[in-house]
Amino acid sequence: MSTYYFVIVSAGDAPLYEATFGVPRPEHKHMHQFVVHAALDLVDDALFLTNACYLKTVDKHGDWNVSAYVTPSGVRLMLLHEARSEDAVRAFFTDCHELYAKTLANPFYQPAAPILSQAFDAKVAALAKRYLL
Amino acid sequence: MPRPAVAQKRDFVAKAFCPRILVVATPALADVCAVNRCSTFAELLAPFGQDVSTQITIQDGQGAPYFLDKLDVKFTTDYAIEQQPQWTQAELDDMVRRCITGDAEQTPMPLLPGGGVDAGALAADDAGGWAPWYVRLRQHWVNEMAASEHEAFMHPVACLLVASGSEDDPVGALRGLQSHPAVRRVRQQSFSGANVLFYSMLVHDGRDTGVVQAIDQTFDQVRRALGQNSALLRINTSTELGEAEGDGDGSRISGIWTHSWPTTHPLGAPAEGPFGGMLTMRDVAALRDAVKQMMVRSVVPHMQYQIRVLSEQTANERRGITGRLFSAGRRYFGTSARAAGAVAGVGGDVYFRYDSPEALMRKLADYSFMLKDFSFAQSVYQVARRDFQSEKAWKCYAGAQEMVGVCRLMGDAHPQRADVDAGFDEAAAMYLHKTTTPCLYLAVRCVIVYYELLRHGRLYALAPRALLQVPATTGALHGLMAEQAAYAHLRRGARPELRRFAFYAMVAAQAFRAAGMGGLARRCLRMVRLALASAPADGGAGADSGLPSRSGWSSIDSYVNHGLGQQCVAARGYGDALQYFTALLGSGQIPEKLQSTYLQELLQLYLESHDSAAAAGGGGGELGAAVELPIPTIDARMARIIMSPELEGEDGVWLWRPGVDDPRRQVDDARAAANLCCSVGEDVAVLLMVTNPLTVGITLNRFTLDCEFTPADGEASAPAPPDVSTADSVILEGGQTTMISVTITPRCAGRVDIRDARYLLCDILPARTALVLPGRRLNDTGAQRATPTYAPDARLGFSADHGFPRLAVSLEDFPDMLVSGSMHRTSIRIANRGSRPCRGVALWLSHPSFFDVRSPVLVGEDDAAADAPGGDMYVYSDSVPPVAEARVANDLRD
Repeated sequence: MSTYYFVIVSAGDAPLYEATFGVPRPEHKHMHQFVVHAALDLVDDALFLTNACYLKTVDKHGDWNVSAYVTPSGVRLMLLHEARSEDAVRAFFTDCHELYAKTLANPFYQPAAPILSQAFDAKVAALAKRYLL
Repeated sequence: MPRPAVAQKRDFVAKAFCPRILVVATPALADVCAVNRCSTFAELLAPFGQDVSTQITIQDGQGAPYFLDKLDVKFTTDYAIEQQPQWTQAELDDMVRRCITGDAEQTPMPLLPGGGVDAGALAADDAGGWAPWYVRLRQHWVNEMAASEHEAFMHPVACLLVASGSEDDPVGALRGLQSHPAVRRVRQQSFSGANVLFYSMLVHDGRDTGVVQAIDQTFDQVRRALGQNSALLRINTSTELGEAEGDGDGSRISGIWTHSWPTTHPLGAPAEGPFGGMLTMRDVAALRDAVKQMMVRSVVPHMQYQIRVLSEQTANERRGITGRLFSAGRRYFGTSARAAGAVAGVGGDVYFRYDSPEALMRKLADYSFMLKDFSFAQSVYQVARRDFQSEKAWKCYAGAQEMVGVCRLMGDAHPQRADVDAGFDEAAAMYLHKTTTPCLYLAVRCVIVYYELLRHGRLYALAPRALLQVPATTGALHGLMAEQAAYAHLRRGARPELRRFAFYAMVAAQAFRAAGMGGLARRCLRMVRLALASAPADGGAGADSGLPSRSGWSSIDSYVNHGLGQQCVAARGYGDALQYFTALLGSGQIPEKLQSTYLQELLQLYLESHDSAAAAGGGGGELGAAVELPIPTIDARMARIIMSPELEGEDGVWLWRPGVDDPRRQVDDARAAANLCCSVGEDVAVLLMVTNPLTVGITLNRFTLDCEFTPADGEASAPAPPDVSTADSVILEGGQTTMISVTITPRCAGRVDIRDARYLLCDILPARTALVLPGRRLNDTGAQRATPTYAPDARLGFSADHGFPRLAVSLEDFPDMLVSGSMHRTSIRIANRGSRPCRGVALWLSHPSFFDVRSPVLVGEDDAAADAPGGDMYVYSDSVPPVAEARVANDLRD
């Protein structure tokens, strides 16, 4: 089983939500973040090449692929993964986007604030189990 | 003083692949060189080989004329085919270390300290501005280029034989030099072979006045004996040895060698002049003219002749469809699967004998390249590449592949992305992975040349991938290339790619740290921190001016802060290191495995700082004062101040107004908040909830509070501060929350405000945690409304007043229950422990009619006496109705 690192990044480049699925490798955590953070530059470039929210794989680093999904508000959903299965990643992103939209609808949630809800956590984990693991 | 010449981009590549000339001199010339501070005659000629103004029109391989403006030539003193150097990582690290001169951290960075990119430096596009060590390494790398069997570049195109005019038989000496071992190797083991050009030079030393008349005759003899490829050079005509650099001509002459020193000795010690002590400006002109004449009259025509001959013999037959059919026919219908000229080279790779068609084609292409006929060279390289591939001569194939890419980029003054050959990337990988012996030197040379050409065309998008082909096993060299890759991302498009810049700067920092180059590692990590602080969304306006990294990406921040902290410790910058470690421990998302490490490093940092300061004879060093730490967490909102903690009940100052049912706590309008007041000498307990946010246990020793004491008006000029108790040791397990009580005893009247909690972390590091509470939100001005502003808070403080007696009250023999109709005698003991007398003590009872209160002096007397006025104690019953609803605020029975 491979490792997945999922992060929701605000329009101001701050991470709103982070999760790791699959085999936990805490020693790679900073590399995961660095690779995903560096891929944000490529997301900015890829935005102008398509009208779709799902940008497919935007960057590669060794065995790691970085896929991206951009919401209309500029929030970016990034997934670092080893296995390449675009349909599963696309479905995962779509459902996560829906979850994020529901979180935004919460009157107690401040936009661009970190998402600390345990319910959100559980739902994302369920989506990862359904589509990725 | 002119700026040292550093070749840039395209020129750099042309100079790297310029013709070489082997210089062989007789021993009699050693003195001629020595008086001018040059070790060899080649060194004396070296500056004049740069940018030789040829100004001639020559023909390319197909007979088309083109103008050759200038040409470089390098002079060597030896020639041998050797195996490519196989450096270990330590040797490569040492090489990079030698490239760093001065303080790496003071070198300008592309990012400004306040955030954002230095646009001026970005536009300047100077590789040496941000990384002068790369420029030195680049030059050193091409200078170290050794002759190889697969290419003709490092093989001398001519031999310069130099003899002194003072010798008895100059002709014989020059003939003797033709059988010099190095010359013999050139004739036998080089691409030039037996056709190598010999150029004879007779040097007349101006100090030999006795042979002035005879030198022309001697030179005539030389010319008659050795042909037209000979020249007479008159130098050392200065009448006295010029030692000082101050005089005009001497300084200018010495500057010629000093100017070219960074190019010829990039890693060597600085030039120790003055050079050319016996030379005059006329001698310098003679040297320059001699080199120019040699190139224009002999070397270039010789190379041109070779190109013409080789082109007719080999390349013309092999180009086009005919050549391909020839190759295929030979491959499938030849007698041997391998070409006749293919043999094993020094490194075990397949190469071709110098007289084989494949090698001659390579020679033709290389000579064309040296004479800057890039388009013709490219066509020949392409033909040769096919042959090398079919023969599986991978080193030769990689070399041809590399040169095809170089030619395509060199041929155009403004190359586009379409000009970049796809095989260029493969060449470096092939040098490393397909050859019998990995050719690291050639692979890195390929990467450097490729990168310089991409810079020339401003094709920075392709640069990072090319640069990172240098394997990570090369240590600091890989770091150097990763650093250049980071800079390429800054220059890549209209908008600097700061995030990718940060990534590659981190890769470089990792490599430098592993190689033990703290200065470079710290510089790279600082660049990462600045890049992270410059938010691209707002154009860098949100740059963090603070020292530690706080980008919000927890693991990145931890990595950067830890790296910077370690480098600061290594550089003995303990103050900065502490800030990084403090930020590190306060991030709250450190992996469990690392928490213990970080904590230990923080404590070690303090001990090192302390020892360093002690050794220097100072006090506590940079960290002498207590530092503010995020561990443990003390929630100031949960702090409680309790008066007279050893007594039961509620303490305070209460005011009982006439006509009001209940006494009310006295409120000071000026302070508005809690108004706690105690008497002087009364104990006040402060309860704090302390939490350990880490998963590893910590110990707090000598835990106490830092209070600010403001004496009341009328107090003595030197009031005694309050006594504050100390908790010797508090052990906090991982994640544990515990309550710590500290007692404060005021010694004179005044105001006590609690500011900090102070402690020794793990009995080593003196630390403090601020106890600050925000007061009420202010909204008086527009600025206060726009930015949340809070008034100072007084909840963590109390007053001590002389005017209060300090009473200790206890009940003696108070029953738990009474049977109806029974009577029980109990007593209240009130002791005044203060210094002020207490009068008019009143009892406030819930059931006044239930008790019969008598003064102690009256106990045992008759009832009439009990009612006598003037007793010490009385029941305050004027305003208290004798009803059951009356509550007791000071419930002593509980």
